[in-house]
Amino acid sequence: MGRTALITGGSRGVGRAIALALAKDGVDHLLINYLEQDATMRALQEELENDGIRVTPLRYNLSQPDEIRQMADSVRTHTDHLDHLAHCAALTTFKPLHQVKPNQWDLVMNVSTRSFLVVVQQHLDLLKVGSSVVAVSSTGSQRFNQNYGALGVAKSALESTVRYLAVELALKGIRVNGVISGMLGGDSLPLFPEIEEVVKYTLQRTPAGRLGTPEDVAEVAVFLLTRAQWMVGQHVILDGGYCLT
Amino acid sequence: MESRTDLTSEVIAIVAKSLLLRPEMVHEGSRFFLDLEAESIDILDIRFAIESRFGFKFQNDEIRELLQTIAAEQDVTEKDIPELFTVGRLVDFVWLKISGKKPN
Ligand SMILES: NC(=O)c1ccc[n+]([C@@H]2O[C@H](COP(=O)([O-])OP(=O)(O)OC[C@H]3O[C@@H](n4cnc5c(N)ncnc54)[C@H](OP(=O)(O)O)[C@@H]3O)[C@@H](O)[C@H]2O)c1
Repeated sequence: MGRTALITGGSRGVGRAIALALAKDGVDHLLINYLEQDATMRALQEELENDGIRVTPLRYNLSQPDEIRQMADSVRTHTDHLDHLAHCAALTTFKPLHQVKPNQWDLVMNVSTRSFLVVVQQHLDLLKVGSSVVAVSSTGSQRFNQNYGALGVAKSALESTVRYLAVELALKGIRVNGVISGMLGGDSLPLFPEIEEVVKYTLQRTPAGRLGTPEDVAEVAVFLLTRAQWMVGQHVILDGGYCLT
Repeated sequence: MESRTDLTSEVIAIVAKSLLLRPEMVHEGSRFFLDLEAESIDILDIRFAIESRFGFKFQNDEIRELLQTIAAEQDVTEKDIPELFTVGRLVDFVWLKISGKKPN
């Protein structure tokens, strides 16, 4: 039986890096969810298929529980099990928390956090004993970041969801953990207001002297998914030492 | 959907709910960014609600492309898009999607 993995928000950035790293690790079938950017998804699909990996693109909007159910129905037509599930999809508005409107709060929460719960629930029958789940969070869940309140709060809730699911699903032999990433550079640089200033400040405070890359995050996510067998409900912080300074 | 008038009320209800406005504060001429103070995440929210209600998907950047076409026809530039993006234009777009008919 081949190894399979489902990745939400897997067409670019961290999700894409996790897809490529899992392929390298021997996963033979990747089911990759994304919102709308077909060309980006197609490029990744071609890259993976050239390496002999089976790819199933899943264009479903995770803000809608009904679409997540449809996605799970589709996943079931392609596989009878999932070895790994990585939740990367997120969406936000960068502004002070006290200016976030109720509909904006709901959308950020629904895409970034509620969808994680619903995706796990809808695929639970496919996650067998020995399978693993990882959720991607960010350091803004634990400390103040300018203009990051909406997603910061959503990520705190995501981490709590990881802990609860980890304990509940450990009884079924499913391991759930998370990674907490600091700011990533290059194409993954967030669209913060005054981003140059934010990068300068972040670099000054980062002992490692650089921003992260999607590959840095993928490396640890894949470790949690495939090797950290005694790790349950934990989060690994990856930020070049930023949170220590 | 029976008529464009019914559609207009439904779209106005969606917009008002998303932006926390009373429906009577929203009309076809309301400009999303200038009159209703919508932000880009609000447009995404409204778009998702419309997709869910009417059962079709916007293609990536489709609204922007439509507005660019209108801007070109009216001989204005990209920076005039906030001026052009009204509730009525969104209704026209949804009407075209669900009925296959161009608005009059
Ligand atoms: N970038 C950073 O600095 C950073 C730092 C810390 C943590 N993180 C976390 O890492 C994760 C990935 O971030 P990233 O910057 O790599 O992401 P990204 O490049 O912005 O990609 C986001 C992915 O999520 C998908 N997506 C967005 N909304 C969706 C929806 N409603 N339904 C389904 N899919 C949706 C996108 O699909 P389309 O391509 O079709 O739009 C895309 O595949 C996120 O959880 C983020 O919070 C990022």
